[in-house]
Amino acid sequence: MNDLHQFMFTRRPLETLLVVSAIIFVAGLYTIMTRKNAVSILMGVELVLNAANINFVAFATFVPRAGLHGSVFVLFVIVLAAAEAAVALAIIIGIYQNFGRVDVDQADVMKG
Amino acid sequence: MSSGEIVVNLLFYVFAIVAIGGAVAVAASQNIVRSAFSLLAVLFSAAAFYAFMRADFVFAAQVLIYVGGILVLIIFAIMLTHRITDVQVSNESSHGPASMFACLCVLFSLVVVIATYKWTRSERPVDVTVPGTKATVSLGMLQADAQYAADRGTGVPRDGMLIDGRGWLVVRAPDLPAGVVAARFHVEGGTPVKEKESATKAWTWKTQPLRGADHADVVFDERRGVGREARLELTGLPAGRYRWGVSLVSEKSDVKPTEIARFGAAGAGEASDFRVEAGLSRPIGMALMGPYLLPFEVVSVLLLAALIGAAFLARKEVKEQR
Amino acid sequence: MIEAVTKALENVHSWADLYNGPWWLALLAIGGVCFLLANFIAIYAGVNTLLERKIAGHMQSRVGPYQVGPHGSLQWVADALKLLFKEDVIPKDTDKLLFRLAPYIVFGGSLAAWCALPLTVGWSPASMNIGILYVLAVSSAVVLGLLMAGWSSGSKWSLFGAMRGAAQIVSYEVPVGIIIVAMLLIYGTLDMTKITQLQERGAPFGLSDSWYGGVLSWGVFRHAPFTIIAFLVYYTGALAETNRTPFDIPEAESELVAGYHTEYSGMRFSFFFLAEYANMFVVSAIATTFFLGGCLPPFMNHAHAMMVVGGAVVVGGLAWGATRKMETAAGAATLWAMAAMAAGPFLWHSTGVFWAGGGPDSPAAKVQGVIWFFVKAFSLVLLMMWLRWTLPRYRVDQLMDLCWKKLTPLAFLCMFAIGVGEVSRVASILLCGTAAVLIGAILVKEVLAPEKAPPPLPRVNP
Repeated sequence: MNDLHQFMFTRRPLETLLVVSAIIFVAGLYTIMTRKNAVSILMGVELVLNAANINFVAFATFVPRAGLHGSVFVLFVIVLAAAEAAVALAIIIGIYQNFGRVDVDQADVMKG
Repeated sequence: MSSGEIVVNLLFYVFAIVAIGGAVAVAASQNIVRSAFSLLAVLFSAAAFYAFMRADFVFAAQVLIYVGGILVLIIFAIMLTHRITDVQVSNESSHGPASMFACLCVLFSLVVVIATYKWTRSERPVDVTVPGTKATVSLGMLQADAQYAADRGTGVPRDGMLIDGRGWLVVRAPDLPAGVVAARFHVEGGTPVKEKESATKAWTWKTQPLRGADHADVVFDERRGVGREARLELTGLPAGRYRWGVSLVSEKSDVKPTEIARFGAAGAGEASDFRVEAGLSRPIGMALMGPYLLPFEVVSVLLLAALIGAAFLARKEVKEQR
Repeated sequence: MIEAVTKALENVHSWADLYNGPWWLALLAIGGVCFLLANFIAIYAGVNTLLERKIAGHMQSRVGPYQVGPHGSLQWVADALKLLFKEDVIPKDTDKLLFRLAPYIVFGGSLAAWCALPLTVGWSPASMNIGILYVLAVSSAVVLGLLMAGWSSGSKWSLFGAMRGAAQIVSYEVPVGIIIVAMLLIYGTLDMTKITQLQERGAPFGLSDSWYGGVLSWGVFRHAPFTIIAFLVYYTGALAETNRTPFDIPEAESELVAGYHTEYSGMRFSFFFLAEYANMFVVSAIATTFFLGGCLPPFMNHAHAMMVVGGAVVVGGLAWGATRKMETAAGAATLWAMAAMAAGPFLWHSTGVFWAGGGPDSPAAKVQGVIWFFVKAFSLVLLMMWLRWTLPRYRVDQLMDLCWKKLTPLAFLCMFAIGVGEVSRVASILLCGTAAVLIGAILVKEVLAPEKAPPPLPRVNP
């Protein structure tokens, strides 16, 4: 038991956070690959972006002399994710108005 | 494990389980609204991780923008693109053992790389020779158990930034010179960062042995896996620039302490060894107005374009009914 | 005893200081503070429901609840017990997990925001460097609880109410956020305890940085009239954020039954109710912190306090004697009090904030700080209740129009003007002077030559 605490968060914070974010990343990847609903795919993209953000801030905090460039970059990623989600959801709503459902397997007709 | 570590670990693993459970629920849930609200759990847990890493501004931005903006948008989109009268809105997914296998392979390779790479290889603190002997001690500065490396040239940790004024100054000596029992730490500073760099004044703060005095003596003791170490804990330091120095105190009271590092030993004009920032807001603000000014402006134009584009794309077209 | 309590409260940070002390003590301390706070919020919200009904009654020329307790003052206890014992009805066609979870998310957001309020001098239950940003962030988590409640109720009307409510809250966060940024340009820090401290001294228009100006140093007078406009915009946005009339379309009885909490009954419903009143207090508390000086007293010294209170009583009595009407008495007393509070800094020169019975660090000061904070925030809450029973309701499209076409441009104007005013004193005086003259001219014109309503359209015989 005493040896176990070498792997706990407070002794190896960087590795623990990277593993957690890897799991979230893979869950997002699975969501993007297997889901049919367009909004679900967007949720998977958000999971992937969040995993990357956790990585950025972890490296900024726990790597010596990395500065705070990781945290600043995370702010940009969050803002860009917001812009991208807004435009993607507008497109999805457009697809719904044209096709009646947001199934990406069935949206395979080009207009005109 | 010390008591503080138990609490931090406990809280961290609670949030980690919520994050992983939420991510799996987003990927596997049959009900799309449930997976949207599991995304809420993941986003909040990510914010909690940022709080653990003391990135307080990023925590607030994550909750404000991701949870309060993007997730609300996603839920609105779900409600606008399904017939809303049935509560169990199904969310099919094409399973395939292939995709599951591929994802597990990716996960396995990531975990292997994370576990085996020596991430903090460059973290060894600098070694300084004790003048007059052949013994070496190493100096370091810690925050949240992350270690800042020292500058090899001068022997004093430089360029460190402590957030919230909490950290440790550390002297490690695998083999102590004869007769040395304690390390004497001097810390000076605390002026606000916008005043002139050369103005310093001795500082006292509430919870430290340095209260009222200008130095603190910390006895060396054995630390598991590390060797003889003397740690001075700093808490509650006000924001500002600081300098520090270390001397080795001998058990004989008439022997003067051997100075091994002094402050301001770096080049002329560089009067601080580490800064204390109250939170990440000010450094991020300075970064956004400094090196990151162009991306900041470009992102604002991009947001304007996204706003107009989304409003245009989502308008109801007048077209024939299906 | 007070010293022990305040000292203990001061050291709450070192109790939860995770690197000393046994680990269960840290968790116990966190849990204890949350427990106390949650209970206080529950009792406060309960009393608030009673007060709302009494005020509604008296404004409508009736007495409100009268049976339970003296003058109906224990009605809130009876209501709480009734809600506790009610049958827990969950409709059949609902998503049970989300239905159960929604009230807790809504209440949790409010509780989290309460933890960061600067209740007294230099102290808040969880003080952090990003104070106001944290409060804004967790308040936006309430929106999701609303959507969850509306969706999982399985009824069309709940869903519509929830979506309208969410759209309203999210829209009104924009002018509110811009106004807060405008005030942050004055204060320069996100920490709310420091913002309160910065309102101890300072003069309007940046004329002086070290004058203890009492009421005139508060945020609302720093760049008058732009800060006054900012306060009004913030208050209107806060009314909309908490779904209070005139913005209560999502929960209006005549519109959508009860909106997103139609299907909730018993204790779950009371969670939404408590969360609404707790939210009202949070937004009022932020308004007092940014605009009304937080926990600072408006008096300069004992003599000033005597002049304000005693003078108000005397003037009110004289007005009542002259006209025999309570309204003129109350109006005269209020005018005297406001004039006296504003005149105080000129009559007495002070070298510090007035804390009766001790210096700024004494327990007496802390107790007085809490009292003043609650007095100010609660008077804003009473104003919200007053408005509820006075103004008619906005339609949804009028509401959105007000937010995006009127409040947001006004908020940007305030931010611009306050920003320019912070940079240069001369620009501040010029801008504020011009604005004051313009607003004065408009007001004078409205009083002297009000526009007549257009004549009614001629009746058309059916």
